[in-house]
This record gives sequence, C-alpha cells and structure tokens, in this order.
Amino acid sequence: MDLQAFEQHIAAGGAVDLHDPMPDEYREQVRRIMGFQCLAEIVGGLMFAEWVPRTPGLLRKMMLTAKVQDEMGHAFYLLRTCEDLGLRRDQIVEDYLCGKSKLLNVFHYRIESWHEWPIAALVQNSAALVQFKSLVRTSFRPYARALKRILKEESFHYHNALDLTRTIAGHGGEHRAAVQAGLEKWWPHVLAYFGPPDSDSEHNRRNLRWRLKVDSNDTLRQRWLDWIVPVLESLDLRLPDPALARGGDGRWTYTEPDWDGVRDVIRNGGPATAYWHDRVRDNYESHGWVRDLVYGEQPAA
Amino acid sequence: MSESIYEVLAQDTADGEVALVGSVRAPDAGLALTFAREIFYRRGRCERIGVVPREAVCWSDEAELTERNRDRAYRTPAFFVRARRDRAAEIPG
Repeated sequence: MDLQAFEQHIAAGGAVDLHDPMPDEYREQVRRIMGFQCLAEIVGGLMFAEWVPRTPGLLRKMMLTAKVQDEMGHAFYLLRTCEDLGLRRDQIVEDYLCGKSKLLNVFHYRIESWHEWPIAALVQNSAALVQFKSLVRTSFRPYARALKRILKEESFHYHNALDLTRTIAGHGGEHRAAVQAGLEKWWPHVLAYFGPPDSDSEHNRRNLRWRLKVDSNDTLRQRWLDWIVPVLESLDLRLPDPALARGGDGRWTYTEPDWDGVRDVIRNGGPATAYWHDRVRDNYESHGWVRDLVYGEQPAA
Repeated sequence: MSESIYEVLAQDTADGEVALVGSVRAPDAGLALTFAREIFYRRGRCERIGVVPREAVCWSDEAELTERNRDRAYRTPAFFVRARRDRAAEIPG
C-alpha cells in the first residue's frame, strides 16, 4: 500500500480495521505495540496472582482473583488480534523468555507485603488508565476496541485498590506506615512508567503520525499527576517527592526519574527481573499440557 | 488437531441486538463457547452468547455499500427538516 496515501488517510482522522489495506511497516508496528502490552498484562497478572492465597477474607480473595483473571483476559484480547496480524501467540511469551523482548520498568520489581499491594496497584492502575484512555483514540480499530473493554475492567481494579488502600491506611499506626512505605517505593517507578520525555526521533514521530501513540509521554505523566495527587492527599498519604509542586500554569514540576538508571534496569535487570522471568517460564512450561490438549502441536513459525 | 477462529456474538439484553464482540481460537464450537464465556463475560449482564466459525460469515464490500447509500438522504427524516429550511431560505423577506 502507498505510504503517502495511507498517512494522508490517518492524518485526516481515518482509521484502519483488520482487513483494510495497510503498509507492512504499520502492521508490524501495531503487532509490536499490542504484543508488548500483552506481555505486560501477563506479567502484571502474575504479580498479583501470588497474593490470592494470602488475601484475608473470601470476598477480597474473589475480588483479587477477578483482577488476575481480567489481566489474563486483557492479554487474550491483545494476542487474538496479534494472531490475526500473523503473529504466533506463543511467540509473545517465547520472545520474552529468550530475551528478545523487554518488560516495562515496573515489572523489574516485586510486591513484598500484603500492605504494599493495594497502594502499588492504585498507582499502577491509575497510570495504566491514563495511558489507555489516551491510546483508545488510536488509528487501529481492533486495538481501540480491545482498549475499550480493558478500560472498563481496569476501572474496577482501580476502585478495588483504592478501597483496600483506604481500609488498610485507616487502621493507622504501622499499617499506615507500611502503605506510606509502599507509596515511596512505587512512586518513582510509576513516574518513570510513562517513559522519558519524548525525543524527536523518527520512531517517535512516526508513532504519533500513525496514531499508534496519541499523546506525548510528558502529557500523560502530567495527566496522571493531575489525577493521583489529590487522591493520595485524600488518603492522608505523604507525597514522596519534596520537589513536587503545581505551577501557576497548572503544570507539575517533580524530581525527574533517573533515566539512565531506568534504562539500565530495563536492559540489564532490576531486583525482581530474574524472579519474574522464572515465574513466566514456570507457568508457561507447567501449562504446556493444556495447550497441547486444546490446540495440539503448534505449527512451526 | 484442527482448530479455527470463531467470532463471538453476544446479546446484552433480551430486547437488544446481537453484536459481534470479538473472537476466540478453539478446536471446536463447544470449547469456543467456553472460552468466549470466560474471556468476554466473567461479569455483568448478558442474555446469551454464541460463536460462529469466522469463515462462515460473509461480509459485504464496504466501499460498495457506502457508494450505494451516498445519495439516499431523501429516505431519512432529517431530509425534511433540511428541505423546509432550504425552502424558507429561498422565500425573500
């Protein structure tokens, strides 16, 4: 397909559905972005799945199970479309296991206590909601449809996390202190989750031009701060960054994440990189018999 | 084992329309239905869902449909509102 005509179509607000003609580069980039989010949903699900057995109370346990199932469901929406675009579904996990694809920065850490997970989920979910609410205006319609479904369920996750954070912090004393410590641990990671300030690279310009990215990283980060700061204040939590302030123009200033450090963690690993890699591999291998039973031998790629 | 893609149909309310909500990959219709239920309807209201093999759906040619309905505004209620306005504009004073 002619790239120039395609770009004019997108620039005029046009969109692309699965069976519409699209340039190979666009198809490849859509597949890459959806595959990347798919992997994030899988690891994100595992991050919370390990808290299900340790959750007190049957209702809370069922709610957390629902969240974990949702994350896997989100991964499914995305991989189903990746398959329609010609990607073998197992490849999303296999590329990660062999080191070909990298995880988001937040998945190089681990939630280490019961008191930590609700606040970690609260800041993570709100950040993901900000990102998906922007990306739902993407030019690729199957992705937009998947994000619409994902947004509804993420909203439940957010309210679940908020309710639990409020409940635990409400017990005061060491409980509140543990929530505060969780916030201090996750704050810089989630601030960095949106990525470094947009570079003027052709790669970035192209994603924006093709509407595979809708807003700049800094715009999304500002939106997240607009939302989450009042929420954290309403929970009487202390904001971890002393430099955090809102200017007269409404824009937030904050301590810039250590981007070299973030890049290093993504490239070379952080405290829980090996842990998550092992969990994904264990799950993938131990469930191999289900795939074999349902789908039979996978055709070679 | 053979497998195929099934389109998932869902009807949210008994008096509502059936919509295509997504797809699953399964070796047979029974499992496709199970997957569809687990993936698309773990919560919320849904009267019923169904699956249909993707290759069984015949889609129209979109461009042809758009072209056919291009000049058919006269079949819509909004046509009369515009026609009245246009006539009013034509009458001087």
